[in-house]
Amino acid sequence: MRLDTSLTLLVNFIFGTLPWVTYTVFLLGISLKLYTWFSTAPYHKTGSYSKTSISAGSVGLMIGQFIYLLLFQGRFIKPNIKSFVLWLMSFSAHISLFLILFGHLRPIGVWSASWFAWVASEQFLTRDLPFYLGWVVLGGFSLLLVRRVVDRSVRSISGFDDYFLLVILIIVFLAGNMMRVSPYIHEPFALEISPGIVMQLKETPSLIWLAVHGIAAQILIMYMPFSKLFHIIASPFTVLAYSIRHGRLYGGMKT
Amino acid sequence: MKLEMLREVSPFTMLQLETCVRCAHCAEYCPVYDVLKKPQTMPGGRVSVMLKMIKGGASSWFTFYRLRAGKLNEIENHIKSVYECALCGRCMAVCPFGIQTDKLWELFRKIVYNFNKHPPVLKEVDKFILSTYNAYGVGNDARAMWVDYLGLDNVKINEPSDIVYFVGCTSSFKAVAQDIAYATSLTLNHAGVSWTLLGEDEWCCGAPLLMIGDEEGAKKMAEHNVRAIENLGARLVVSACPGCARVIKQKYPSLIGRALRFNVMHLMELLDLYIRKERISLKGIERDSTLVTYHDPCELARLSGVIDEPRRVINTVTTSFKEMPENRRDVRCCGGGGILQAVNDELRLNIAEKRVKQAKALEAEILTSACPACKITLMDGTKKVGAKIQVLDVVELFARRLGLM
Repeated sequence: MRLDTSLTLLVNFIFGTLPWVTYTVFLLGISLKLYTWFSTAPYHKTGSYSKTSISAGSVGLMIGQFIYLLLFQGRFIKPNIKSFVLWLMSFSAHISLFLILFGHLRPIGVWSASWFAWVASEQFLTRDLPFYLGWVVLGGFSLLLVRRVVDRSVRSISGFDDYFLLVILIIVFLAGNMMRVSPYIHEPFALEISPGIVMQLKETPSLIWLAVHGIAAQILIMYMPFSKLFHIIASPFTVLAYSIRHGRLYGGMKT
Repeated sequence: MKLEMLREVSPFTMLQLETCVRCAHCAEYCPVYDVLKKPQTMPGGRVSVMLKMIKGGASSWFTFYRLRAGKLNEIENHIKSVYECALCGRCMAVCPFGIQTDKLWELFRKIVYNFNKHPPVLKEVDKFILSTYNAYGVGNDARAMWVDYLGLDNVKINEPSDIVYFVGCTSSFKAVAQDIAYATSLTLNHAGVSWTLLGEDEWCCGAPLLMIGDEEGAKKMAEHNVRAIENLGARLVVSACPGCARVIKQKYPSLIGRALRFNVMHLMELLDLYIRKERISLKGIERDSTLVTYHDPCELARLSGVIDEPRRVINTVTTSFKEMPENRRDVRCCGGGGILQAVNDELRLNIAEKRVKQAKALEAEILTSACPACKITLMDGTKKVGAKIQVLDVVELFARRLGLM
């Protein structure tokens, strides 16, 4: 009883108070990073003196390249077996991760499982699929961690950040899945994750794993601006810039 | 310590550097890492070095730093690895985030150069390019001597013409590459166009200077060359050297601060155009069945997007063409770029050896390319491997089959 009360208090702290710290650290981190880049690097600007115009073919190539790189992680799709295995690990983990994140929007009312009734049953979409996807993410990130330890090339350029992030990610998803494995109560559970945003769960998950899940996930969010996790925010921009160059170079403009 | 040079690091550069997740996918494809296996030569490793150099006052994994407070010792520890790179851009072509590494390495070299920490051999190269206006340190008045050696008649030098043939230092001064200049001249004559050489008014295009990191020097070359070309009223500059063509087309506008008043093409683009427009007659051409393969120069295929044109030209003169593995945009570098010959020639030869072995495995009899530096490097590679493969530039093969030489 005492443990339950403590756990409830802890969960309330993790999802009631801690998010404010998390959001603040995240936003401050991003702001400081941008401020550092823009204020202390008044870079030498080179103008664009291109005489070429945009052709439809180039635009098509740019869009195609953007989708191929960002959504399909196409650069890993190579005949080289090591690249292909890396793609399998990375792509499956990332896609599953984003589907799980999307799934988190359902209990707060952004979407309803009934919208996808034509795909599968509500039971499958809300209980079984996230569970399976969780294992896919866990498998993918665990293999990426193993690769980082075992592969000489990767290990040689890996630092604390590289291992730490993978371990935290693994903890987040392990805890997420354990919430569904360990005993839980078949009663609805409401979790206020921000003022006015309440997650309506059909069952009460294991509070210990919920606490671990919540803390680890928020560590990731807080750490994002300071670590290579920043690629989640930055990669659409780098991919877009490359795609524009790709379209110009290979789309017949050749500038 | 204020390091003004780091002001060159733009927000977008920082964005790119901090997007690298050190997945080391580039390690699988980097020709230099493939040979040296040193972490700092791996593109992902070099990004870490570059970040360490830019950051100041914080540990290496923490992303906050004070720009302009870089660590000088970080540069000194890694100078060699900065220049042990063929600048082939393959890391960019395999990077899952599309990080434009070619631009990062160029900036890295520029920073090192501005700290005057570049290798002594490159200090020498830089010095003689700036004083002799060519990459071989000989008098620039000898630039068009190949015209006399090879017995070319009726070649215009520095006269008003529609087309300027920008020969480039390697084809002008290196005997094995002068055949490329000769074949190009014969082909342009065959096409019946009005063209001229710049003679000693042609200065180094600036590509080697940019590879060293000397942007100011490259700017000086660019300003001179643009003035010389525009004075002749040329509407097109053509070069058989992809390095020259790319620098003139892609870098000169930003170096001189305005658009060029002429177009720039690599010779393969022009030849392909002339063949398709039937400006060059293919009558009487000998299309034989000798097995020909083609090595895409990185500067031409990956970095300039000229991929199909050389293949179309080759296919007009042969019935037996076979693709190399790792070709087109994904070409494996021969080692001839990035001023590697001056920095680490053994590395260049080891990279070339791997490429030549791929051609040998195809049982190719003729290995073509469309770049003087590639030709020389592949020739060195065939000697090292002991392969009986003839190395030719595409324009040489074309001119020979056309019976021009």
